[in-house]
Amino acid sequence: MPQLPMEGIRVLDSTYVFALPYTGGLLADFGAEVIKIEGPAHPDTTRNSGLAGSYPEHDLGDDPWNRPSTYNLLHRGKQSLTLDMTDPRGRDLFRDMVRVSDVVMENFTPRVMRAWELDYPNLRKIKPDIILVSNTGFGHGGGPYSNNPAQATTLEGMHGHCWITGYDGDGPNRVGASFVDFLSTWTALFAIGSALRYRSRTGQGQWADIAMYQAGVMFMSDYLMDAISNGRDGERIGNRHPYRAPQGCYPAQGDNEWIALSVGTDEQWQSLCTVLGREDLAQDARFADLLSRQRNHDELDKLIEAWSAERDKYDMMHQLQGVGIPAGPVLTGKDVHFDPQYKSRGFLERVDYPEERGLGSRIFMGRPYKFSNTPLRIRGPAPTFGQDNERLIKELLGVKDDVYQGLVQDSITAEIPLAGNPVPRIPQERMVELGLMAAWDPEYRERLGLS
Amino acid sequence: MPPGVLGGVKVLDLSEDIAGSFCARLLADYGADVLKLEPPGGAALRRMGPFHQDDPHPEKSLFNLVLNLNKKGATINLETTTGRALLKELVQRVDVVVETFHPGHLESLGLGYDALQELNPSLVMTSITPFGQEGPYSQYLGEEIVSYAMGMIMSISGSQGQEPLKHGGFQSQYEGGLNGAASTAICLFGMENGCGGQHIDVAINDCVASTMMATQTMYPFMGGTQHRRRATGQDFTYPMPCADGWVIVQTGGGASWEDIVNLFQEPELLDSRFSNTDERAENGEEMDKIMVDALSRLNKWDLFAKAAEARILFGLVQTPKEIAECPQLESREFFREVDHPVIGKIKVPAVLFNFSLCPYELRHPAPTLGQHNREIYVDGLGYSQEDFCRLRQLNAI
Repeated sequence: MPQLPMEGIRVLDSTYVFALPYTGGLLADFGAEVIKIEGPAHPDTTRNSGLAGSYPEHDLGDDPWNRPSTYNLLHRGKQSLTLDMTDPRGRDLFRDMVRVSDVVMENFTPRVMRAWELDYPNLRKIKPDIILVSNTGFGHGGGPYSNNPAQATTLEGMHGHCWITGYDGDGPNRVGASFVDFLSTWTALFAIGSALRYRSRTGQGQWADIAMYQAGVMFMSDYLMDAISNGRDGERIGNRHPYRAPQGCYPAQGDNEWIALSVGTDEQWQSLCTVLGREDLAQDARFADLLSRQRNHDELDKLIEAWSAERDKYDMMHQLQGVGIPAGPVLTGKDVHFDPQYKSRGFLERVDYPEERGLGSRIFMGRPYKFSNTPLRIRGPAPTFGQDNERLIKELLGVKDDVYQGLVQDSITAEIPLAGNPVPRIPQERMVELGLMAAWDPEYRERLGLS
Repeated sequence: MPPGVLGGVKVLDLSEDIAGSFCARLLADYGADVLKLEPPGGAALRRMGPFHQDDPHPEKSLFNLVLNLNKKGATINLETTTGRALLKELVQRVDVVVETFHPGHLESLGLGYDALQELNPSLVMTSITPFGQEGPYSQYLGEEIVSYAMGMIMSISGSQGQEPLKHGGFQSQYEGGLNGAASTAICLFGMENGCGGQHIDVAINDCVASTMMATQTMYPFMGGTQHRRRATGQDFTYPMPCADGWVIVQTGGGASWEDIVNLFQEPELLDSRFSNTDERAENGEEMDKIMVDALSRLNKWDLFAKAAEARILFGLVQTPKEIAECPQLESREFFREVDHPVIGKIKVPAVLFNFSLCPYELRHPAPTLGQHNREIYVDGLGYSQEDFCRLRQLNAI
């Protein structure tokens, strides 16, 4: 079996929230040694905020900072080192780590790394071939918005995705959760793979300056060109398509169950008439071609809804796909765990925790691709806060024990966060009542075979 | 010194859609030599709108203009024996093939990964499809809305009072493309690291699903299923109308709730009913009403400047025209001017991210159909002028 693509590569992951922490988790899947670095008084936001996701059995436990679902997903397979970067001793240890690493990732606002003298020109002095990846809202380089604080939610408006997303005739909408973070996640992987190859060929490192705003805008390329070329400013068309009809998301049997389908050709329209049991419509001039179907889309929606509302969403997918019509059920966060296609691809992976973590086994998504020659998997659970402090500082950096004890004493490094309170939990039933959750299934462990 | 970070990498781009074209373009943007191979009638992308000045001419598709930037282009007809033989010759001279055919199609032509790897053992082939190469649904047809439905994102998008809402545009296609480029770069480095050739099987549905971390983990952690936003009482942190547009405000960053209240110029929001996340969830409808009323008197760019000063997480909803004129993007040289043989000089979105040593370089406009046929088949593969004409007459190119 060949080694994994990133084996032998050491990555310092000094990043917070979603975007680059996820890059680090994926790099660990690829075989890299990834060391997550946090401040003792500056634990990752996913350990204790609204971004933490869920807690095992909705229970904060004794060490809530090690238990949140998003933290555990993002930091799988990593080591954890805590260093107080606001203290010169912490920064010195960071520099020592850089000396023995290949890649550094950070997502502070541009002024922070500069102030710590840990920006790219300074890191190069320590390790000339270092590869640095920075991810910020608006990018480095002194543009007018460079120092604006930013997060996916507010960036979604800035980079235009909200403008083009929304129900027909309604205002702009958000979609998904922190969507643009993931564009940076993947951009960083692309930058790191390319830069490592270049380094192995030329011996030279470099700095990738990623701006989430810019990545988001890139995904608007077609709308931007329509604006530049035709003066058109984008519009919201709900679930419809500029040149397919009918297309939509229709109610299925059950509570909050839905099927999406899309008809692109006249042949598919004829097939849909058969599926709907409405062969009479196949010859109807109101729906004969795309242009007429676009014009009479509201009527088509009613016809489809009348058929779909009492049918099972998966049955409808199989029936529609069986006659060559693109269709699929709206899958919830629960549904994917039982979907045969995700299962067959091994998209969701089970991670077993050591007894003392009190997390049992949990299921996390892996990667959206498979490699034929080097099968990938999640290589281990996320570490506890500062779990590798002593080993990394003493064994890797050669710091003597008495000096290490001093660092612990002065909280330059720590195994319990010095700040951050977990968000209080609203009881599950109340979350459903408030509409903060769609449903709650107390039998999930049995259903997933986790107990 | 090669010009780009991927200098020296040679790529064949067989894709006809957004995902594969975007994947190969990113490789080209950062230095790879990419050859776009299209059927003699042109790839499907050329028939997709929008078109330059609304002229539906195959050289004026704006998707084609943008997504085939920096590539060279030739035609090839894989439905012919000769076309397939040409591809086999070309494959021996490249490092990467990007393709987005329906799973099994290339195999049926004798051009699947195993066959091509026999000709080129270190080949990386990047296949991007909606459902992936194998599995019970791999033969099903994908569409943007289907990937959004099955990738979970629609289950939490839109309002609880209405049907799940699709993201505007072709986001899942771009997602598939970016993941294709990222995984290709990882495998290209892996080759330096002893991994050998690889077939990369990207599933677009899984790319969409990969953005759903809180949604996916909620079930195995506590049995919950995430929902769409509430029909009312949840405007805060979503786009809210102001006097001249829409804005989004978020707690966090360096700002306090008091800072946000100051931005809205509405002291009533300091009331204990709105003092924390739980209270704001319980009293959402009331809070929305006060906020929307306050915002109706304020302008988006004034708010943007004030919010930046107060370190408030703030965004306004920009339109495509506004983005096209954005000073921040200008400072980062995001847009570049390209001189296209049919369209002429035009500004295009270009730079995904900035590299210090090997910066983005605009090298070619998108090729016209078959523009580099002679260079590829005569100069490259060594066909005579006479045979080159025969290839055309055989409808092989």
